[in-house]
Amino acid sequence: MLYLFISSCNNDDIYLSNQQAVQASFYTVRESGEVKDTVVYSLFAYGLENDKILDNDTVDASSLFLPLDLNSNQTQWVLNTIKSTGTFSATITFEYEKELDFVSGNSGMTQNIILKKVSHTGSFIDSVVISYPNINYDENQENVKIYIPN
Amino acid sequence: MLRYISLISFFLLYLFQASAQDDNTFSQDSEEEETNVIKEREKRDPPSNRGISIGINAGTFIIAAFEPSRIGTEATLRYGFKNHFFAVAEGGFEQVKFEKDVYDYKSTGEFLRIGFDYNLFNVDEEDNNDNVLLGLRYGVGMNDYASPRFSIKENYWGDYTGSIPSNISTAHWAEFMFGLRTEVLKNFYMGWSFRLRRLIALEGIDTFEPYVIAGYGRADNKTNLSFTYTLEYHIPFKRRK
Repeated sequence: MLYLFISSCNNDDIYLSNQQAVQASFYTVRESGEVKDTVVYSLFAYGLENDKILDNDTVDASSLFLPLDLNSNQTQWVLNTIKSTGTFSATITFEYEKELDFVSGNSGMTQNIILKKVSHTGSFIDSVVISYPNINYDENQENVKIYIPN
Repeated sequence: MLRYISLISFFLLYLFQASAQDDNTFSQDSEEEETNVIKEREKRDPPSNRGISIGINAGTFIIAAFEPSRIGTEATLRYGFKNHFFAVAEGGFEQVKFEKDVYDYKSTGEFLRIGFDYNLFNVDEEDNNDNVLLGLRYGVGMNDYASPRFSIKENYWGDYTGSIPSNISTAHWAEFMFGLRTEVLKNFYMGWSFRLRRLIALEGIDTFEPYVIAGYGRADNKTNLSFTYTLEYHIPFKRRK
């Protein structure tokens, strides 16, 4: 049989890199109780036990993607912000479960992730909450809200 | 006396000739009628229908030339019965093996398609046994497949690698075909067909789907269009007169 396929070439014929990242956004709670998204200035982040600065850069960001270690069920990220008064740090710990998933014949596998627990240390962050625990291929969802002191 | 004998002889001869002529006329009418009956019967049930054909789908070798990772073969069995209909069974196997950056894959699969073809072609030309065929099939394929190595890219922390053990899945599909079949030599037929396949069910999927379903094509596609190129030998059945 000479197979002629109806469907066109899939655009997912690429390596699935950085699909397994937590999408985190920054918020502040005003005195009025209103929750507002916020920008953290001069932010840089690195993974504990990796020490390589994410994207090799310091940025002003209202949200960021924090990749998870697929060879573990826990990943820790250190977030730093540089202010005139000094550098402030916080460490966020993500605990999660992984589920192997098949994307397509061209792209192969991916890991779908379910966040089970998130915790933090450090004064730079007020609190961290999970807003959407599933990190799935081809989804664009905020997973975590990071609350910054006002 | 001789005169009377001669008259009787002529009379008898006349009677005999007349009788013989009548018999001949009756015989000619009868032959014509029989020919018409046979012609009518053959129109309803062409000679090429009667018998069993066995063949191979040479298209599998063409696909192997374009996709060396896929090797397979397919046999065809065709039984012609009345009123332009053929019962058809097609079976074979396919092996797939490749290595990509993201995963390695290997599978073996067998399949069976059963159904019928209807010959649309009516021709008065003697010994023209060509067919224009429309057909339907039900297909079932079993695949034993595995991924000996796969890798999930993660640029910051490093890739995740693993393997997926062997799994057996069963696929069911429906198939519509249109094709031509022609007698190129006495009892040797060559034919091609287009196949439009629609996947109905894929059972037994554990972690991932097979890359190719034997007899169906790429498992990613819920609908596949394919092509067959068949060579068949026909074993005719003699018609009872």
